[in-house]
Amino acid sequence: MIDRDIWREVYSALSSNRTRTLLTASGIFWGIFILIVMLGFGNGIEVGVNRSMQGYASNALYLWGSRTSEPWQGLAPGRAVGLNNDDTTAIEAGLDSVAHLAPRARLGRWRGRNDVRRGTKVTEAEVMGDTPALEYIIPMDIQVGRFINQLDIAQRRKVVVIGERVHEELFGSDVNPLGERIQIRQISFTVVGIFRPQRYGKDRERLSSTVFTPLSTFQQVFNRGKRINYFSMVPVPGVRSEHLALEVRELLAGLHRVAPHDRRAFGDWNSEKDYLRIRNLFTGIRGFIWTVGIATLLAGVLGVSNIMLIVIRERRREFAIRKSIGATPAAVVRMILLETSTLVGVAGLAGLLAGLAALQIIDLFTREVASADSDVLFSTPFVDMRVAVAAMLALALAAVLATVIPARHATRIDPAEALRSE
Amino acid sequence: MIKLQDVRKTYQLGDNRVEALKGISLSIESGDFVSVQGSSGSGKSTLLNILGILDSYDSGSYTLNGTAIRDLTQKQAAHYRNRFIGFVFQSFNLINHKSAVENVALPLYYQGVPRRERNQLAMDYLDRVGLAGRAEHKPAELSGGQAQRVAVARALITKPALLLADEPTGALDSETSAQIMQLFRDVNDEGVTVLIVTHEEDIAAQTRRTVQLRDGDIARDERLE
Ligand SMILES: Nc1ncnc2c1ncn2[C@@H]1O[C@H](COP(=O)(O)OP(=O)(O)OP(=O)(O)O)[C@@H](O)[C@H]1O
Ligand SMILES: [Mg+2]
Repeated sequence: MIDRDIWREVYSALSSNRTRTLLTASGIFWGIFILIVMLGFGNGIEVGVNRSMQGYASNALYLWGSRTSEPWQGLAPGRAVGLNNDDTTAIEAGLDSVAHLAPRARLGRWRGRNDVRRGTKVTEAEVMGDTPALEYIIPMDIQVGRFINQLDIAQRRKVVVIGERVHEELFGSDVNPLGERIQIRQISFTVVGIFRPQRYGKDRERLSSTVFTPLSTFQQVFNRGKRINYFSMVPVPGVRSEHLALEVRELLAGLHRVAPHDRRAFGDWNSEKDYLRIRNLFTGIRGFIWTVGIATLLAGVLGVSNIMLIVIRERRREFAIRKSIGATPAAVVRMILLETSTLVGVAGLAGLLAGLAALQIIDLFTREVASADSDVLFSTPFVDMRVAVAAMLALALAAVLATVIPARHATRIDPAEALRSE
Repeated sequence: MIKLQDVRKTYQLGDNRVEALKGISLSIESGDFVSVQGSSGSGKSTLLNILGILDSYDSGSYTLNGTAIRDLTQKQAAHYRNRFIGFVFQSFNLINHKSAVENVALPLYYQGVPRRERNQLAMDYLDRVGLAGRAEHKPAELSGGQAQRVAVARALITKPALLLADEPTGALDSETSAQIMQLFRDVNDEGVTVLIVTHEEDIAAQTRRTVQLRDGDIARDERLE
């Protein structure tokens, strides 16, 4: 029998003591508000960081030759170890745990640039010798044309895939460069594709000033013989990058007459560790947010329970009067539960709306720096509405449960006792 | 209408036992007008609360309108209080945040009577106690006599068979006391059984039967006229 009457009763009870009502409501309001804002922030940071990691194979392994640190088979320590095509063949033939292997060669030093020319126009770019497998290491976004393919490798074609920036500087962004020629160290290459990095920030700038040539061509025209600079590779599913690194080291140690336990002869780095660390960080942040949020809400709920106890004590006489004129225990409980859930519902909804509004305002101020192309580790804060609504419902339920005990107190009031005239 | 047989009630306060009623036997016919007198602490309120099913008793028996009142559930007790009994208290016991008419209508709310209908009835009863003009006033805005008349209207609105009043004039001056007693006489004339607790002789003298309590026992029970 929940009709308009009971709402009138609830309204008159709640409005008869505004301060008390507001105090109770504010606990709930802040609980929801803080939870929403924190969730929104957490999501914003997560999206931002994920964006900055986008364009990296999450479990890629990089491995290069360095200098030996231990004597072995009569060879003195300090010897430089260089990688070459035979290593590629050996890894491909000998290791099942490698899913994709991309040997890479570079013109010049680590991250060094070279002049790339077209007629009189010159720009600086990193010049790389690569194989099609690179597509599995750096997710490719080929805007026009194609990436290097097996035929390029087999026929040592003088073709090149150029980064966005190189295209812009040598051709202008609205000129189709396919089939045009560019010169690297006086050698002509035909442009077959434009590459657009999927990464953000500084990485993006660096990658868009890169040109990719077929590894075989690169080694021939730049007199590299069989030498390569480093391997990028991805393990088959289920194999950790760290493990793969050990396997590759062992194999290469045999080929290069390096002591089996010489840690320094090769260098390696994998993104998996970082990736996992960041994933764990997010699990931690999310756990923290929920812990704080739930603790705040719990405090709010306990507040409601507490205040309702006080309210019922204050209104002992009123409940006794109601009982003396025929209120059943069920009617009393219903009234108290309805009062609480109305209060919690309205306060929670207000907190939800205020939280969403706060996120909107934060977004207004951060939109500039957090836009899609930036490498700021923050993005538009948002909240999954299903989560928000579920949190609200859980809160309302908790608050109602927390009121059951005070409500039972109310039904146990002895009217004879409470109405005894003072 | 009321039949009490050897009703006992003991309050336990820590180690202190207070025998509030020491075996009360009392019959009240339908339509009677009874006053209960006695010094302070003699058990008047206790008796009235038991009669009104606001309180329980330890032993003996209580029959109201042929129904044995014993071990009722709270819900059943609420039902009897709502349908058969009207209460008037010394301290009025109105709900402060409700207007006079809302207070009067409240018992009908618990009967599920629609709002419009019960407010209409409440206005009729307020009119009857001469307070139609104060319908929207809150209890704090009423004088003692007015508040008690509102309380009487609230007690009568469910057309109870039994009207119980605990010192209804205790907080009122003699003029307003007279008004209230007039109301009770009118109600009694309509056939409602009325029982009032009082310590004032002249109030008791206006009833038809007076029961004198002393230390939880009936000391005297006489019919006036
Ligand atoms: N809830 C209670 N707990 C303990 N003792 C009580 C309780 N209610 C009443 N008593 C005791 O029972 C006795 C009868 O009390 P009761 O209220 O019935 O007296 P009364 O005749 O109405 O007195 P008064 O004229 O002062 O209202 C008193 O001694 C009182 O102290
Ligand atoms: Mg008394």
